[in-house]
Amino acid sequence: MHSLAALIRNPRRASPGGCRHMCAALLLLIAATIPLTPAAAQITAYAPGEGNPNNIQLPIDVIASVGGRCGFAVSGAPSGSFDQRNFDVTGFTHDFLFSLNCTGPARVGVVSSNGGLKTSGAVPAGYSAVAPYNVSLHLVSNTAAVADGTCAVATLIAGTGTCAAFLGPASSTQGLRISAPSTNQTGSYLRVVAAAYNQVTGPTLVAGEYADTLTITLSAAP
Amino acid sequence: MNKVLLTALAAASALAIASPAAAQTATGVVNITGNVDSKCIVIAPGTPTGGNAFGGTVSLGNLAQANGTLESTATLESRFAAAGAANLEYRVVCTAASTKISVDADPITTAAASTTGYSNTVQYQANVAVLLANSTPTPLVNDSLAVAATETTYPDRLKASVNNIIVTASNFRSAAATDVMLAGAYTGKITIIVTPTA
Repeated sequence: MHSLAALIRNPRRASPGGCRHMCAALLLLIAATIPLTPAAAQITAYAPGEGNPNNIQLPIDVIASVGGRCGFAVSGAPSGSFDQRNFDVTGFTHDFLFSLNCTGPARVGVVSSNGGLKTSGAVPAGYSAVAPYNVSLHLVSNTAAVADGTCAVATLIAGTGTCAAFLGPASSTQGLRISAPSTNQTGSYLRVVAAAYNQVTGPTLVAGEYADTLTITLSAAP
Repeated sequence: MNKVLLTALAAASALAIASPAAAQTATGVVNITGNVDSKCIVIAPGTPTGGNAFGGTVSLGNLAQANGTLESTATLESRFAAAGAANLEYRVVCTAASTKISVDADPITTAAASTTGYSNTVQYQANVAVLLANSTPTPLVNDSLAVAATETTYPDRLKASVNNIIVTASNFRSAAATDVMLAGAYTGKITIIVTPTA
């Protein structure tokens, strides 16, 4: 394998088949990437002892960038389960901790599968099979910058939810934004909170097993 | 002559490979579960006494007519009803899908011992209308002469938006229509128990 510059300086070093074919292919490749310009200048390079110049400088500027990396830290994605027996009597508060690993600004969005804790079955007027609760996000960064938001879980249904703070799925424009990088910082959490349910005010929560699933998505938000 | 012919189309060629920050997303999932036990909640308790969850007091006044015999049942029914919704209508809801309600009427009595031709007891019938979410069943009936309570399990929920347990009384009577009512303070009670089932 020879470098392009070496081949240009000494085409005889080319592998069998000659430089002409290889160099021509390379040149065609390069030319294909260059916008055509109306005034083309022709330059000739000669083998040593047969004339000058013996090489041609062909500057190729290479520009690249590395996109901001954004994801949850290893083993730092929000996960797990929380169960509260008789939550209508006790209420509940629970934090799901997670760690961001974003080299730039990011957004976090949340979607609820049921819009509340839900049990199966139809219920008559005055009763409910869906229990409300609140969802809060707290995001920390490498700096003092933090981001906070709270929404009723009923507003976190994908597509129809109205939570302005962090309805998911997250994108570069949707979700709670943390403006500074957060690389493997601990302290971010998703908090679920419900006060003891007022069964007298109602509607009356029917007996049963209740469940909800929250999906938390993260996106770079440059 | 070996020569390499290069054609430079521009003095400075730029091969630009610039990739913008790729849209990256990551996802986590958390599950929240819980339960609600079967129970009943009193929303409109009436005017309970004695630590009861719901109930009321009915004052029937003087039970006897001028001739000493018991007032007519129509009169006593009217007096009973006059206690009004504040004492005789309640709203109870249960989280369970089915509800059992029992009614047990105890006679209205006084402590004085009775003898032939006299009475210290008024028997009657308690009627408890139950309003359900999807139906209106026949009222539960229990006579004060019956030892056991009357109970029914309804495969339905109690209607939530209104008072759904309504008590009336009828068929007030003494052992014999000619019995003279003994003087004294009389008391009786109707016990209603609401139980969540299933």
